[in-house]
Amino acid sequence: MLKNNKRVIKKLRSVALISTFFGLLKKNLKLILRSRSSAMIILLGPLIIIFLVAAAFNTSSIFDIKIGTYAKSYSPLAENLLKELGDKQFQVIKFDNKDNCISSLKNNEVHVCAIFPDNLNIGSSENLEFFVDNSKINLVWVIIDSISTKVSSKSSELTQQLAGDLLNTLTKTENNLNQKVSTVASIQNTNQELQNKFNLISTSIDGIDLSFTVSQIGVDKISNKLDSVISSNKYNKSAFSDVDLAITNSIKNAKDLQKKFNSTNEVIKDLNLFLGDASKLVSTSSNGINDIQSTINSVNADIKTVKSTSAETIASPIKLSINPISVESTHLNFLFPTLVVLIIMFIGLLLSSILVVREKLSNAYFRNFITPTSDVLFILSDYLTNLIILLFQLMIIFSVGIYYFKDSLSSVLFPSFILVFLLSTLFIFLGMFIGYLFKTEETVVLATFSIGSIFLFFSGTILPLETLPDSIKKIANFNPFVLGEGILKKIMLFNFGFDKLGIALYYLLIYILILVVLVYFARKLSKRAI
Amino acid sequence: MIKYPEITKEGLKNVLSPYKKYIGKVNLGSYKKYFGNLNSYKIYLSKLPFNKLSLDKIPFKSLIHKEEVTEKLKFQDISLNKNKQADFSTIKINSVSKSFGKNNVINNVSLNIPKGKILGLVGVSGSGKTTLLKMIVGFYKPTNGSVLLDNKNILYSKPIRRHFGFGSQENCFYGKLNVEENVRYFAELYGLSDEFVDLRLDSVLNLVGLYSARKTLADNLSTGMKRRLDIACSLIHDPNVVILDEPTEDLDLNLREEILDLIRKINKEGKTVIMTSHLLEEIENICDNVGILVNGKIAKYGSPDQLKKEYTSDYEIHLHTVSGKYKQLLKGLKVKNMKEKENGVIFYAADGEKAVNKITSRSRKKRDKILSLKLSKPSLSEVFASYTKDVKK
Repeated sequence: MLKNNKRVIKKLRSVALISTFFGLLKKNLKLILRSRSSAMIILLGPLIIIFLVAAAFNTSSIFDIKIGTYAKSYSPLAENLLKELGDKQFQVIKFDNKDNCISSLKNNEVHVCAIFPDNLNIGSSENLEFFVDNSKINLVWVIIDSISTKVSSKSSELTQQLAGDLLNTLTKTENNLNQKVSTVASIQNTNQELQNKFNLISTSIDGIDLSFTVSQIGVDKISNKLDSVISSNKYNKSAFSDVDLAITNSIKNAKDLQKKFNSTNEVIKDLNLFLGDASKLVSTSSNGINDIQSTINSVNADIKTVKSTSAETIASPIKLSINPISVESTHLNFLFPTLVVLIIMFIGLLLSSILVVREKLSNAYFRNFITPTSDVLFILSDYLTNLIILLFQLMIIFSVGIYYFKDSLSSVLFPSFILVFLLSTLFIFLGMFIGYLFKTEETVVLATFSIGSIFLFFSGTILPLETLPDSIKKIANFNPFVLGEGILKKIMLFNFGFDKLGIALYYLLIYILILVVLVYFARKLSKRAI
Repeated sequence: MIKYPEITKEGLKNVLSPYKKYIGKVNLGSYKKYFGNLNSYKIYLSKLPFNKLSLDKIPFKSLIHKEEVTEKLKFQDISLNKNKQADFSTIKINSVSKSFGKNNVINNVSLNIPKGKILGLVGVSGSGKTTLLKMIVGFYKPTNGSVLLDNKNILYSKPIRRHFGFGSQENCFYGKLNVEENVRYFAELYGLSDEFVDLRLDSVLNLVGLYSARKTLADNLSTGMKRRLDIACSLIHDPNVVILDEPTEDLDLNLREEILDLIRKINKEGKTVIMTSHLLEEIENICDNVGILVNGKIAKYGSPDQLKKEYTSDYEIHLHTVSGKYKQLLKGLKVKNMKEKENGVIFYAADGEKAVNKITSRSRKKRDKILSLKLSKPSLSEVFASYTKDVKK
């Protein structure tokens, strides 16, 4: 019986606590909703935020960037480039001189100042200068990137054009060379034939025997014979004067002939020498033609080794393909997790801290303390009140999100909800702690915004964390906003499961535990201020 | 006033028997049914004379305290016990001190506050009245000593706090809730069921005169109504001890009278009332006992008459004549502490009537016209002034 009683008592007490708890919750909600301005903010606040953000960030482009330009004279290439820049995104404003352009940049009248060299042309040695305002930390890189993309696009187009011309020339050369290869071969053959003929002539000439002596004719013998005949016959010599004259003339003619043979021999010798020289020259020419032929072959081979034969490939030898690891394409997709964490942080902090400080400043706070209701129950009811309101707002935001992103969000709704719940809990308890810590609504709001701003500044939302010094970056990595945003992005954009979220999730849980304890003691301490 | 049914042992059993079935199967609905009725019975039983039925043995005197709830479930063993009686009205303050840092606000205060009486605590600003009240109600932990109710230290027994109600001049309720919502909210903090609150709400609102304004937003109430709402919030859980910190502060004469009437009504319901006020006249009129608190100490404690008597047994005489020659008129009379004022003199005499007769006859003889002659006992204000003056010295 006693055991049974204890069990029943336990149940009765827990039910009594639940009843009191709901009473507290009801009171909190009534107090918030009875204030028209609070109710309006709670109901319409998130709708307005999501509407504005969706309208503003549902694009991946940047708009209304003003480019100031200056050139002594704008070449067609410069005009062409400006025309490209002037399309949609950029507004081009021409200045009279460089100083005015830079001055306008300083005065925020233009976002970038482009100084064109005089008569910008392909092959101009002067640079196209861009001046940017580095103080616009978050915009400058976007502008630089955007303009660089445009300029390099034009530059690439020109390179492509030039490379095309080059390739055409190369192709023509190759064709011409191919044609000339046969001509050279034919010349080579002709040379060869010529040399052969030279050799043949030389051999033939060598075969000509023009060796001749007068004695070979035997006229001397005839004269001697005649003399001997005359003497023997004692003929009158004068009777044989004609014969003798003929013999003398023959001898003379033979001698002349011998001389002619001798001179012909000399000519043949000279001719042989000439043929030798001519043969050598033909041989040298053949060698030269061989060289030309091998050069042509080598050039042809070299031309054939040119792998890229398209101008596009030469202009952009490396094909750059940037593939997003998530499928979405607008800023809103990537911003959505940040937006959700941002809303949780600011509304969670602000709502809970104000609820607590208003309760603290209320005269009824004292009466709450003298009732038998425990502090834990008050803390829990405050927490749940904030959580209900925050979740209601997030429900609106997620509904809009589902409308925009359809399946990509609805498929990760459950893990997102778990994380949203954890983050809401964390920031609500942090807000409650601030509420208990400070004495006036003004200081609470100030402290809340300060803490929220610190979280935001060191989150990578405004500046990439990678730009921070290493030591601060290490601390910033423990920023609950960074942890929450990181986890939510993993869940929403990459469909990570809880098992892959790592230690960040545990950090959030540890933060929550610490804050719960802090809130409990802060509430106890707040009693002193009554 | 709530009309309670007559109780008998059998009747009690009959009332509770239908709820036996919930033992072992308790949900919110059954809890409300069960506790709603038990709460009604708690009130009912608390009104019974102790010689009839022992509250200790009857299991429904408190809803929250574990031991008491345990007792509740032993309803089949209900028996009469004349010897042991719970006393949730008598407060014992044992050598209580309270310091805030180096500042000693309360110094070794001991008091026994009897049940069903009205105790007035008076003292100059900063004398520690509110601190003492907040210690009685368990809000401040004494640096030394203890506050006991039914011999239980209120610090270590949260359920015992439900026997206290605290009303203050600061309107401790929510302006954005209406009268009924405020009262119901504080009832819920005391763990009371809807049934009990329904039963109690009308009577409390009638008692404080806010029944017709039950749906009015607290912010929209008049000053007097706000003060009454604050008292209603302190009464909804039917406490045995009602503590009122300067309940008439900042109220006009009519509203003050209304609140004093309300305090009398509360006291008539058998509740012990502890109140503070700067207005000593009202304390004198309404309180059974008065504690004069000076520099954190009880300088004097007793009934107003006792205090005045201890101060002086003489009569106070206020005389105002045309000539203003008071010394001649009072020559030979046994008068003490004569003080000249703008409109005459004040002095004290052991035999007031004799002194008045002599003054009258002398003035006739001397043809000095008496403009005013008052014979009275000294007021609490004078007693208070004298004690505070003494202690300061």
